[in-house]
Amino acid sequence: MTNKWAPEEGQLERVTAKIVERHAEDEIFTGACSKNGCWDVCLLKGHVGKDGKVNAIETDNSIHPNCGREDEYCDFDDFVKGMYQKRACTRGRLLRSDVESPTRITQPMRRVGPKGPGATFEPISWDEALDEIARMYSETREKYGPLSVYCDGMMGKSWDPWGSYLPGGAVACWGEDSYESTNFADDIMYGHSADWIDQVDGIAEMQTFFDSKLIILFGLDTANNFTERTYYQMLAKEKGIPIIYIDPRFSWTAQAIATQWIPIKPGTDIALIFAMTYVLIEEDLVDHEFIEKFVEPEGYRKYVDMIMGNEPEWYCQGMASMEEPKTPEWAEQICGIPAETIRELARLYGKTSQEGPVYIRMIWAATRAIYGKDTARAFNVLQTICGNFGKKGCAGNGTGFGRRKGTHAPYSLMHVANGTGPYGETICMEAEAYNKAVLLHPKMESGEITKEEYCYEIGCSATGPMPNIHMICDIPSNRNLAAGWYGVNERLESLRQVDYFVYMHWNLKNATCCYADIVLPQTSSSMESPWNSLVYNLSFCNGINPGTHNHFILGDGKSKAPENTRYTWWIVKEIAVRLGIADEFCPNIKDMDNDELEEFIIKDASRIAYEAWCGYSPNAKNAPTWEEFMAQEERIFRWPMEDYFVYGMRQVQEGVPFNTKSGKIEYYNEFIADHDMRKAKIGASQRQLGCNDIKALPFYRKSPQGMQSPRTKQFPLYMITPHSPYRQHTAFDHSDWVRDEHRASIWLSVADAKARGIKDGDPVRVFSDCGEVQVTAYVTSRVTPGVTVLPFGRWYEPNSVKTDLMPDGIDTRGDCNFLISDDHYGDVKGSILCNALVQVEKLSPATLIANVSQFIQGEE
Amino acid sequence: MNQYGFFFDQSRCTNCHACSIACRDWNDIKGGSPVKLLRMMQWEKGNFPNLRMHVLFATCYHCEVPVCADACEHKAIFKEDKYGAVLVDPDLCEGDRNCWKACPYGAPAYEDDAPGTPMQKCNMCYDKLEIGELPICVSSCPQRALDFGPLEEMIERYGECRALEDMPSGDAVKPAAVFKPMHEHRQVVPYDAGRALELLADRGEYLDSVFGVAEDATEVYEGLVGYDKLVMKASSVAETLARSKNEEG
Repeated sequence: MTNKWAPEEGQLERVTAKIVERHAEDEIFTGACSKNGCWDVCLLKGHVGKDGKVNAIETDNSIHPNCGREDEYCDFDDFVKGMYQKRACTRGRLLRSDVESPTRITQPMRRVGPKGPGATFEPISWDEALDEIARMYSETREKYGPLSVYCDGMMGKSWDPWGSYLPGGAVACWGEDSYESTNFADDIMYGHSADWIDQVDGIAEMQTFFDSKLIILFGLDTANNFTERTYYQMLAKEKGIPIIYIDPRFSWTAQAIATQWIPIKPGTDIALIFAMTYVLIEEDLVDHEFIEKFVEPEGYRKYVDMIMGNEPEWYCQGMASMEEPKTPEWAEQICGIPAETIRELARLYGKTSQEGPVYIRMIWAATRAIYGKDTARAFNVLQTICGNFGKKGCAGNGTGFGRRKGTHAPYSLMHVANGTGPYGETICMEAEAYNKAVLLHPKMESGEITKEEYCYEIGCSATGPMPNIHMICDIPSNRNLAAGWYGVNERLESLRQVDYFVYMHWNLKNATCCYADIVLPQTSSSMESPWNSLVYNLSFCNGINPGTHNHFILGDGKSKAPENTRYTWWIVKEIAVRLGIADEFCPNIKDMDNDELEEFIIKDASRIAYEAWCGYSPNAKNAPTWEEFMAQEERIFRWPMEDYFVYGMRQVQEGVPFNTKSGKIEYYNEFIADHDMRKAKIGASQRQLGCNDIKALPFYRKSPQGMQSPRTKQFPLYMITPHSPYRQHTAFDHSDWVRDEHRASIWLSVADAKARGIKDGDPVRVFSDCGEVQVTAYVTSRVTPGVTVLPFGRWYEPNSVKTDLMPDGIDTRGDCNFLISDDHYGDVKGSILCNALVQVEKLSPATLIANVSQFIQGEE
Repeated sequence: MNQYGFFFDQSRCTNCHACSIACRDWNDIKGGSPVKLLRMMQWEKGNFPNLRMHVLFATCYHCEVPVCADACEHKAIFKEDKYGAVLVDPDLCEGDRNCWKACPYGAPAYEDDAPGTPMQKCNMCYDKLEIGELPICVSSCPQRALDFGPLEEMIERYGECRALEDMPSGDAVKPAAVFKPMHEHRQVVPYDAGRALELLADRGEYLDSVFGVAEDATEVYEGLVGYDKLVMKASSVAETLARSKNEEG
């Protein structure tokens, strides 16, 4: 066939030369996407252009090369063995816009003038900055005691690298930032070990989807959060496994993965779970054999009494709701799902469980609420009561986190620095309670609040040592405190009040910078250094919970970092030197400069770790030599899995006892029944709940932040705050590319929009009792009436209007955490709150005031 | 002449925009530019709680009958033989937009609405094809919802659907693309939407209901909801950019 549209002579060459030119001379390096979130740890191939900057990012092509629809070109067995491309998602691809950002921090800076938006900074030298930080660190501890410097931490640990090497030790925290409710439930029901990284086997490796007969997802918005698991779920869907997805929002998981979407009133999952459990007991669909073997019998009996509304003689105090049978008819009024559907869902779940495993999983978000711990505990019962535990085809524990025994990647950190020093750490607060610790301490000292009230607010035992925080040092953790957690206004106020705040970050648009005394510019992980940003290893990137546990990546970050940025470990080490603890903390690296340290990590520490791993790991059978590994263009090693792992297998299949008092799964918690929880410490990470609002059994209460709360008279909309596929937590929100792919909106249901005279695209103000944001309305049928959606992770961009609710200016970007207060309404602490009751009002365009520039002008 | 083409699986796409960001990255299109050589477009159909979200991989489909090339008076658009890629010659383009008028898919992209602004378009990642690799969008898709290869092979593998629901038919231009439509949702367990709406409206005895009658939640009038239809040819670059966004951020 002749080509009627063929180019003129020379035209093709002329046009295509320009196309080919752009990447013709790129140098390619390996990187690993390892920002906290999915933990999939995908392969990135960075292109570096002639100017030394990142010119493009590609992803894995080291297996099944150049196969677009990968599964079309390989055996299904490859997926069973975990042999597939570690293909990066949207987030990994955004690292270029992260490192090339026009608002990149390129210079250490000291604040001059007041804290807050518009703060001005002067450039300072590294020596000046580090000397001052070390001096303030020492002086603060001398003046206020060793528990006066907060560097973040969780799970009974500290992220203060230096404190445990100094007399008095460091502040450690209990609680987990992402999923403390679920973690608590798993801990007290299954028994975590204290060292969660090496010994908690939270995961169900994702081949499990293929072996399940039915998949039920409680709020698990896979498509938004877990890219690799989405792919495996997609393959499971295409195998014909039905997937039921319960969520207030018709997300892309509902559209692309689910066979059926069931909308639910948010925060009411516990009612649905209780009612499903009721049907399973009533119709005798529970797995008696499993229960007999693995569930503590007395607790099981009590749980059944509570669900069925039997008249027990052993009432837990304050559990009046136990008297009512938890029927589907009882639940439908609460959760908004018709009783018939609840009944049929329970039957389907129970009957399918008798034929084969069911993957049933609740995502942490459903428990990030007041009384969230009870929801997580009830869910663990629903999962185990039908025996869907510790078997292929099932989900892991609720935490879904941790790796199976045996290290799955070489571990290089130990060749760089030692772990905890001789003086240890003191668990004295809950991980997120630094704001309360700072703001309420003077009130406790002046007698305005009691010591007991203070302890409740910060998650400290009434008998234990209390922190007295005067310095916050956010160096290894570098969190976005103005966006990452609920109660932002209160957190910003605590940053104002604290004597000294040191912050390390990479982007000036992060409003947290405006509250810091010193800001340190960080070299990028992945793109500019071998540092992989995971605190658990250093150079080898394997993550904690990738989809399958059969690979690691060693990045070498060849993009040229701005001259005055530094590698995190160099900063940590330099402060250790100045504190006089380098000989104990990091003898191998104490004299290295930034470049030497990077080279040491790649060439020495990594080599030692790699070769050691090859010696002890059964997975190293076909591993290349170090030299061969380093010579690979895509520096990834993966091995075919002979089998996959599901949490609980060791207990269920090998008879290892659960790490609980009874050695079995405990539905009823005797420890809680027998102790004053204001004083007791519970679980592996020694939680200090500081209050008694927790019972031996989970129970249902109306939440003060729920859709049936009287507070809805003033704030009628229940706001949920899902993650975004464009951000890893808060990272990348500054990226222009991101902002071209979505509209920063708030979702409103058709009913709620009509009732307010709002149509799609209208500007609206969204406010609660603790904050206000102004954004655009997205009106859609995709959200349950009475529910509104403000995606999590947007950065604070204040305008010039300062109000009582927003003392530093109304947010114009839609940072949801301004609207969520740090008020737990007497519930036990630790749940990371991600929802709130809010109101939405239409704004006239004339009243809109643009955001002010808050960028700090550091003069180079 | 060879003809290569795309495959897009609507039932797998989660509208994550990894492909469109990869495209901008590879082609070095700066943030804030309305030029999107690949647009992921969404549109909503149905009413609460029975609805569907449609999504489309919208780029130049390098048609077998490139009417854009026919429309160009300056011979600035041609179709090369090796892959059948339709390419624009920036030296000859005068920005008079006859190609845009002719293209049923709105594929020609512009930095600006001003007359004379040069046209830009997808070049099938000609540079990648020349080194034996796939277009960047295809190799970037985390759900493997895209594929690329000789059009005949794509048809053989994935069938002959050349237009998804609501897309222009393509009969006249023969797009070098095949599509798989979204999967059907079904009730694995019975769900009475009418009863659910009653329950979802209810806040209990002492509080006002969430909404009044069922129609409050289900009836939609023109202009109320966003993305209520597929519009591949928007009237301005700003609208083009807006229609290629989603609400997931």
